[in-house]
Amino acid sequence: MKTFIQTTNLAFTYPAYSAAEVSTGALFNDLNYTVCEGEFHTIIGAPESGKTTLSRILSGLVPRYTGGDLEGTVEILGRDISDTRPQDLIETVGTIFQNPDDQILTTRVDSEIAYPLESLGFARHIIEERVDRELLRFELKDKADRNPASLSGGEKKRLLCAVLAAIAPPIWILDETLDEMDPHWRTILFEYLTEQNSTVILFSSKMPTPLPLTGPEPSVEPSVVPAAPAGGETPAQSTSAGSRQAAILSRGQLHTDEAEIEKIAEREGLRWKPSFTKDKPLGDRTNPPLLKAEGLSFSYEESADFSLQVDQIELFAGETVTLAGPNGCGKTTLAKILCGLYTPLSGGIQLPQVQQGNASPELLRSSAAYMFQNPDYQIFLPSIEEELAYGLKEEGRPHGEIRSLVQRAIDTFQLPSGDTSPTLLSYGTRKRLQAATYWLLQRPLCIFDETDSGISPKDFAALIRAFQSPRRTLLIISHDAELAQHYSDRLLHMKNGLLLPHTPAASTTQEPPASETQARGGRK
Amino acid sequence: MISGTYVAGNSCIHKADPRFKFVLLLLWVVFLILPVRIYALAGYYAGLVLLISVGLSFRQVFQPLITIWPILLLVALLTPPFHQSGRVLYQFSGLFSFTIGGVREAIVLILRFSGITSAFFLFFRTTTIDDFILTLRWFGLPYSGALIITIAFRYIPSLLQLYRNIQDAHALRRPAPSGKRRFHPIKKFTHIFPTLVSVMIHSIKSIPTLSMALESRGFGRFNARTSYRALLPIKKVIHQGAYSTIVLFFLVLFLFI
Repeated sequence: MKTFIQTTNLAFTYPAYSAAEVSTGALFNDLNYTVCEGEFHTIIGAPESGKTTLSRILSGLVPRYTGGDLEGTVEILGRDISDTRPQDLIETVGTIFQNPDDQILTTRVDSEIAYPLESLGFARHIIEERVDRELLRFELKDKADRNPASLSGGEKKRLLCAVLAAIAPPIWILDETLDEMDPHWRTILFEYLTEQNSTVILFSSKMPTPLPLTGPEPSVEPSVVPAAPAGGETPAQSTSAGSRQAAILSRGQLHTDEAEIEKIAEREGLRWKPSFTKDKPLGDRTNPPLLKAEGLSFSYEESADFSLQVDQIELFAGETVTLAGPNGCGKTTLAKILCGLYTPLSGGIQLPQVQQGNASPELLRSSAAYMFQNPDYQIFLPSIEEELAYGLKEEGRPHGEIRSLVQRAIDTFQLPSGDTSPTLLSYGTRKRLQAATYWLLQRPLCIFDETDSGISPKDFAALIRAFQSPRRTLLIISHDAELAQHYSDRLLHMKNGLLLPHTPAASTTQEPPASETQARGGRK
Repeated sequence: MISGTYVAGNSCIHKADPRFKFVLLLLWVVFLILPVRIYALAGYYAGLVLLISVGLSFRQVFQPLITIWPILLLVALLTPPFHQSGRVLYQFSGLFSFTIGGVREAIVLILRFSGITSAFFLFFRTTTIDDFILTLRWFGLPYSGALIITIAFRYIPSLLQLYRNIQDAHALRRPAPSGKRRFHPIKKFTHIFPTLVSVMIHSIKSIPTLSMALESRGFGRFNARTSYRALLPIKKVIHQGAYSTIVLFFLVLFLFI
């Protein structure tokens, strides 16, 4: 079989920056890796292990824009990529970035799919044909004239898949692409890639559960993929087309041995484990709910095809609830209504501290913590200490109390010293800093909106444990069935803007039976 | 411009050819700047109110005004003391006075600011950025120039979204309101700074990522670039030229009011 990607003695070091928290030593050392035609590789690694850097090196984007020293060679279809510009590789290698907002360039869904085809100089009728085909395949036809910024996280990832499918490169590099995508779309994506016999490298910070693929092979089947000289035969090359390989990226090396993958995944906490969870349920549903919402309805001005209708939702102190459902079903919208960021068109939310009537948006906002997926939304002060103290100062707490609370947060969330600049922290540490700011404010309702994306299960578990309290409700938005199973007392399921009947967490399935949806009238 | 990002719709203004809309936009702005009488300016603004009501909704008339209210407030407060002509309406301890002439001048400036903002708001709310770029290219702007505008405009909604997210994130860190809800303009103003700093950090961080995204989409290739979308041939929309001429006739008519 033909060798598609080959790295030989690859080493990479980012430019040194003395103030950075993260060591700027070599990210990879003598990395030798081979990917053959039609293979499906999953590369697992903890945050900051270099997955994104490796994915961008393989696309020719690093060190072109980041600087740094790259040693060794990277060959794509026998072509050294150091001599090739990224724009000349787009018909060979397609990359989907971890954050879809980083990659969207236009203001219409159909134009986004058309953009690279225009760059390639295709005739208009071919572009139209391909855009239509991919809009249909990824069920974006009714959103063709929408601004991609108005799509949900999972829909944006679908759009980026549609962009690549329109170009149809033989090699797909997917950087945490499964995060935020619901299981149905993961299946469709894998079926498409299998059908196309695409060569795929999927990067993930979690050990995957069995992938929803049909066929005889197990989803994750680690095997030895030793390095080989360019063009040489390797054991991996003798495997059949479409075979699946796994590797784990740790301390600058890719490990492909099954036992070693398991050992490293265990050490670095890359697999959901029941032991991460709390010992006993904290939820007490005998007391009045911590939050009760009734008759909520909401729609977006810019999106006529979506409306949210929630008859009733109750959240009780001490419980951990997972809110699941397909992409674009309204999970984030509902969460933003519950914490007062969106005002519902009808209905209201009651809190125990409001004796009569509904709580005001200001009161809801000050009662909730909303963990944005991107921690940088909240980071703006020059030091960790100031960042943590900001909310407490706004509350008018005494200076001495603020200092002791800030130190407690630094210790609890394992943050670097208080005078460190937050912008120089690693992604995982910034997430911990974001969580620490809310932890200090002691909000009774904490919403984790796909917070597990991009961090390891172990790190996510640590965040959840820090927040769990008999006086607090945790609402986790996630597509991860394992997460829901291990952490939730209760699972709420949404579909087409409707909240479906309660499902116990133990019987977690990401897709409810069709009859449940139909029973509630389906899409509004 | 930030509040005026495109929202899909089926109104006649949405369907109008962007070339005619663009020409009318420029002319409308010119008429608003001309030294015409206050009634003519009021007429131009009323025309825009009518078009916004028809093309979007009456509630949307206030949207552009909300975005520029600090400017309008400053104009309303600071213009009258510098124009002392006409009858005195109110005197402030002998320091300065509000006169008919001063108030009239403030109204003129407010109508101009509101009119220009509303005109751009209506245009960008009903015209996709792609159509706008095609219009500019139709009028002869080279692709490289159009691309810069495309990227800039792509970032307006993106920055808007970012601004809103960051604003939300900051709002969630504030304490519960105590007692009666009062409007604190200074506090509201100081809250803008953390949001702007976060937006700035984000924007600077996104520069290399944007370059990567552009090149990974083939920007900068040596082959000729094609276009997915195209404007209709001008002869197919010539009837819209007739409608535009009627609108233009009324604009000119107001000059003589």
